[in-house]
Amino acid sequence: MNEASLPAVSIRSLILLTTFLLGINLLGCDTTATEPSTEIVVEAYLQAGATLPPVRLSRTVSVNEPYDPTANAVRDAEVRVQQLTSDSTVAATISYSERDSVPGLYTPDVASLVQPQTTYRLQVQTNDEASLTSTTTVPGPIEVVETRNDTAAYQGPNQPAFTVDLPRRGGNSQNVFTFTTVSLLDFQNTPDSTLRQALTPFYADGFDPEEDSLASLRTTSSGLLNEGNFERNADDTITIDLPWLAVAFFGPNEIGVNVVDDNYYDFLRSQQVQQGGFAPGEIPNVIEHVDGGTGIFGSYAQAVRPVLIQSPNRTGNGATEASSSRTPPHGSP
Amino acid sequence: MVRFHFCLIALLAALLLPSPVLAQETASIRGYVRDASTGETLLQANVLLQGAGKGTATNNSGYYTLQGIEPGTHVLLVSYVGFQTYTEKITLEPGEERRLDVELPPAELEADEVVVTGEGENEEIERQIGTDRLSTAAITELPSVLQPDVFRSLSLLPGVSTASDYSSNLYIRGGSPDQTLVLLDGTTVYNPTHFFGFFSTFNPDAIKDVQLYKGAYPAKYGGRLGSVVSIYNKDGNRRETTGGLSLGLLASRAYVEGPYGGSDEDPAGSYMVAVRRSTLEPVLAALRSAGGDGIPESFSFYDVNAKVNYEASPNDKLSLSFYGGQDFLVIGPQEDSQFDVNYGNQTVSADWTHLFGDRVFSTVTLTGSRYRSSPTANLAGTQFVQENGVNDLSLNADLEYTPNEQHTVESGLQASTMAFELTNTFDDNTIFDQRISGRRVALYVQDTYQPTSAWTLKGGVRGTYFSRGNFWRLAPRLSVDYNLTSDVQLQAAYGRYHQFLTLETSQLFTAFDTWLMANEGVPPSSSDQVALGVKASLGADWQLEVEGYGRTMRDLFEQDPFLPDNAGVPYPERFHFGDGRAYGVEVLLRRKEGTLNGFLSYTLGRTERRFPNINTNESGEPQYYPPNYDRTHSLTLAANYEVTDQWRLTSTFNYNTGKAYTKPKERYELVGDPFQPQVESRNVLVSPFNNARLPAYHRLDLGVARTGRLFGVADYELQVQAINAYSRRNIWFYQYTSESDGTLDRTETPQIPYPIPNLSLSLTF
Repeated sequence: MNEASLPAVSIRSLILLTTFLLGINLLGCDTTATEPSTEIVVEAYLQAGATLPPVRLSRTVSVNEPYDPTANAVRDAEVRVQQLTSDSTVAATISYSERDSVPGLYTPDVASLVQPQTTYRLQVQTNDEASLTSTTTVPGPIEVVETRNDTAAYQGPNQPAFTVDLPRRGGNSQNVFTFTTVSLLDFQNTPDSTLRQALTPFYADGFDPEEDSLASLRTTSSGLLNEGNFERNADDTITIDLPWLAVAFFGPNEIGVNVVDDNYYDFLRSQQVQQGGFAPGEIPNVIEHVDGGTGIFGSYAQAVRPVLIQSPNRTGNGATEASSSRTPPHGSP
Repeated sequence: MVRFHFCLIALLAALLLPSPVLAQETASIRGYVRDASTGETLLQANVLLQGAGKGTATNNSGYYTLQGIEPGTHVLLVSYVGFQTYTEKITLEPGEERRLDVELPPAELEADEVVVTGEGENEEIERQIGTDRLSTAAITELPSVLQPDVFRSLSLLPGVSTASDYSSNLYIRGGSPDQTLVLLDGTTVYNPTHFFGFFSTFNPDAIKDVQLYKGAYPAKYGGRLGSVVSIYNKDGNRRETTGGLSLGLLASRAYVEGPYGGSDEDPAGSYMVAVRRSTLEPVLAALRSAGGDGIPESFSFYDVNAKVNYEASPNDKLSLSFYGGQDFLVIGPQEDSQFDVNYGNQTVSADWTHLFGDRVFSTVTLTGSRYRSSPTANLAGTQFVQENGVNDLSLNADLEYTPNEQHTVESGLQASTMAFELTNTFDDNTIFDQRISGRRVALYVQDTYQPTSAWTLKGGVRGTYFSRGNFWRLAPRLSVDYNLTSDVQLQAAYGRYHQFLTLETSQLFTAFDTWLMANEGVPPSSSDQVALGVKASLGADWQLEVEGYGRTMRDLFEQDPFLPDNAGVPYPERFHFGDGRAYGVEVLLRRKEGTLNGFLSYTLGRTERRFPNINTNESGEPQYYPPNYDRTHSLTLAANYEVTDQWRLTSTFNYNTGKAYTKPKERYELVGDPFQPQVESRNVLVSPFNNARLPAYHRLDLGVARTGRLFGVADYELQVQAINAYSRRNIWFYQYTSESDGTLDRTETPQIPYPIPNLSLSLTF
C-alpha cells in the first residue's frame, strides 16, 4: 500500500463499513402479535346475594362501524351457567334463554340466587359452533355495620362514614373496592333545570348542557381502591369516609361499597389504562378472562346505605324542588 | 472467575509499576489548558507533540500529561474548537518533568496572522466512539422554542430525540429517559426539567461544556443502561469581572463572573453566578383579563447556578458549585377546584483536585442532589396531596495515573446513599407512604493503552454493590480505536451496564415523575452494548462519522401500568418485568468552522420492548413492540451562515418517521356495567399495540442574529427566530372517544401547530 492509494482505500473502507452497518438494521425480527378479528363479546355481572343476572352476547365491530349491542347481537346461542363446588365439580346448572324483546340478551330460565364465595362457569355455544367459557368466583359477603352522619351538610365538618365488615380473602391477597354514589332524586319526573340546581358546585361548574347529560352524573364511581388504603379497626372492620368529590347531587344518595372479583378487577384496571395509562396514543388491550371470546363474566359483592347531603346554603334536603326516587337507577344489567 | 481476577491483578500491577529505565531517559510535560480570555479550563482539548506521534486530550478538569517524550526539541500543538491553535517549540532534557500550562485565545480574536493548525491531527479525530460535545455557542445560536435549551440542542445529534415538541426528555439510541445519567458538575440530577418537561433545567449562561456519551460509555460511569450527559458549569472568569443580561419571551437571564483575591495576574480564585426566571406573568395577566379560560393564576420558574473556585496551590484546586431551580403552577380550571404544583431540584458539589507529582491526578468530589415535588389538588372539598422526594449523597474519588507513555490508568471509588419518598394523602388520610433507601458502592479501573500511534485500546471493569437486595454486578468495558490513515479512524466498543433505578413517567407532566429502585425480587436491569464506527476527515473542515450500535436490555422493571392502586401491594408485585433491544446506524457530516458551518445527521434505528399483557399473541405471550419514541428514520440539518461580522443566519430542519401509536382495529361497548351511569357505556378497543405510525414529523426553524456594540458599554446580540416556519401541523397523538350514536370519534392533538416567533436580546458587559 502506498501513500497515493490511501484515499481510495479509505473511501472504499468507509463504503464497506457503512454498508455493513446499514445491513445490521435489516436483521431485526418482526413482531407477531395477534391481528384482531370479530369476536363474541360476553357481558354479565354476578352480584352476591342477588339473582343470577342476564348474559348479553354480541360481536365486536370494525372500528369504523357503529356498535349497537342489539344489531350486533349473537342470536340463538345455547347459554348456561354452572355453579361449581370447591373441587370444581358441577353443583347446579342454570340454563338461559334469549329474550325475544332484546336480541342477544339471555336470562336464566329459573331464578337462582348468586352465592358469595362460590365459583360459577359460563358456557356458550353459538349456532355456528363457536364456544365460549369463562369462570368467576364471587366475592363477599360484605356488610356495612355502622353508618355515621347519614345526614350531613355538604363539605361540613361531619362527613358521612361507613364501617364495613370485609369479606375474607385467602393468603396475602386483599379486597379491591369500588365505591359508587347514586343520586336518588327522581330524574324521570324532575325538570332538568331543577336537577341542575341540585348539582354540587364542582359538578355544576363543569356541566355543559350541550355536551353532557344530567343522567350521566347520577352515578359516580371511585375507581379501584385496595383494602390496604384503610386502617383496620380493632374488630377487623374498616371505616370509610365519604369524600365530598363523590357527591354530584345534593339530596338523597345511595352509597355503594363494592368488592370485585379478579375478572372484574382485571377488566376495569386495564380498561382504565385504555383511557390514558400509557404514553399518549398507546392503547393496550384489556385483560379479560373469556376463552373463545372477549368481554367480562365478572362478579361483585355490594352493600348500600342511604345518605342525605344538605346544601350548606339551604335547609331541608338541599334539593327542595326535586323529589326523590327511592329506587336506584339500576342494579344488575 | 478466579483466573480472571488473577489475570486482572497481574495486568494492573504491570501497568501501575513505573518503568525506571524509561523514566530516566525520557521527559514529560503536564499542565492545564485554559481559555486565554477568561482563564476557564478547556475540557477534552487536544495536546500533541508534532511529529513525535504523541498526543492526548485534557481530562474533565482541563489537565493533561504526556509521558515518555524523547529528550530534545519538539513542537507542541494544543487545539480546541473555537480557539486559535497554540504552538510552541520546547526543548526537554532527559528526565525533565515540565509543568506547562497553556492558554488558547478565542478564534474571534484572531488577527490576520497565520495560525498553525495540525496536519491531520484534528481534535475531533481523537473523540471516543459514541461521544459528542456541545458548546454553549451551539446551544444559544441555533433556533430554539422560546429559550435556548441544552437538551433540545442535544436532540439534534444523531441517535438522540425527544418525545415531542413539548418534552425535552432525551431518548438516546432507543433508551428511555431514565436510561440516561444526567450529571451537573458530577452530581446526578433526577428531574432535569422546567415547565413540566418543556425545557431542561440547565441555563446556557452557566454552562461551559456538555459531554454526551450515547452508548458503550467507559467504566468511569455507571448506574444507567444507556448513556451519560455530563454538564460542566463555568468556573468563572479569572481575568476580569464580566456580566450579561438576556431578555426573552419566556424568561430572562443574567449572570456575573469574575476573579477574586490575590493579584490581577494571579487571583486567588474565580466565581460565577447565573440566574434565570420566567417572565410570563404579564402575558398570563393579559390573557386572564381578556377572559381566557383555563389560564393559570400563576405559572413561573426560576433557577440559580453558582460556582466558586479557589486555587489553594499550583497543585490544589477547590471548587464549590450549587444549582437550585423550582417550578410553580396554580390553576383553578373550574369552581371549587384548584391544582397547586411545585417541584424542583437542588444540587451541590464540592470538588478537590490535587496533582501528585507529574503522574497522578486526583479528584475527590462530594455531591448532594435533592428533588421535591408536591402536587396538590383540591376538588369539591376533597384534597389529594402527593409528596415525592429524592435525596442522593455521593462521594467520588478518582485517580488518573500515567505510568508511562503507553498507559493511562484511571480508577475510582463512588459511594452513594439514596432515599426516595412517596406519600399520597387523600381527603386528609395518608393512603400510601413509601420510604425506600439504598446504598451503592462502585469501584472501577480502566487503562488506556496506546501500543503504537495507530492503536488505542481502552479496557476497564466496574464492580457495583447495591445494598437494597444485596446485588453485586460486574461490568466489563472495552473500546478499540485504530487510525487507518491520518484521516480515517476505525472504532469499536463493547460494554455491559446495570441500572438499579427506574423512573415512572407519563411523558406529559414531569412533576409527577417518581423514581423507584431495585430490591429483593426486583433485580437490576442489565444491558450489553456493541458499537462500530468510522470517523473521517474530508478535507480541512469536513468530518464524516458513521456509527452502528446494538443493545440488549434485560430485566427491565417498571411500575406496572395496569396496577391502579399500590396500597398494600408487596414491593416486587408493583412492577412488571420485560426486556428490549435497540439497534441502528448513525451518520453525521459536520463542518465545524467556516462561513457556512453546521451538520447533517441521519439515524436509521429501531427500538423494541416486551412486557406482560402488552401486544400478546394468541397464547397470551407478549411480543416485541416499538414504543412511541421509536423512529425509523431521523434526519437533521443544522446550518449557521455568517453573512457578515454582524449578521448571522441560522436554521434547523428536522424530519422523523411518525411515532408509533395504537390504531384500533375492533371495538365493542359494555352497556350494563353497574358501576357506570346507566346512560353511559364502557368503550373497549381491540388492537395490536403500537401497530401504526403517525404522519411523518418535519419542522423548519429559522433565525437571524445581529451583533454589535451598544452605546460603547456592552456587546449585544439580537435574535429573531421563527419556529415551525412553514406551519407544519405535526401530530402529537390521537385520542378515541365513543359517540352517542355508537361510532368512534378520533381527535388529534397537534404539536406546535403554528409558526412561533422568538425574540431575544442579550447584552454582555
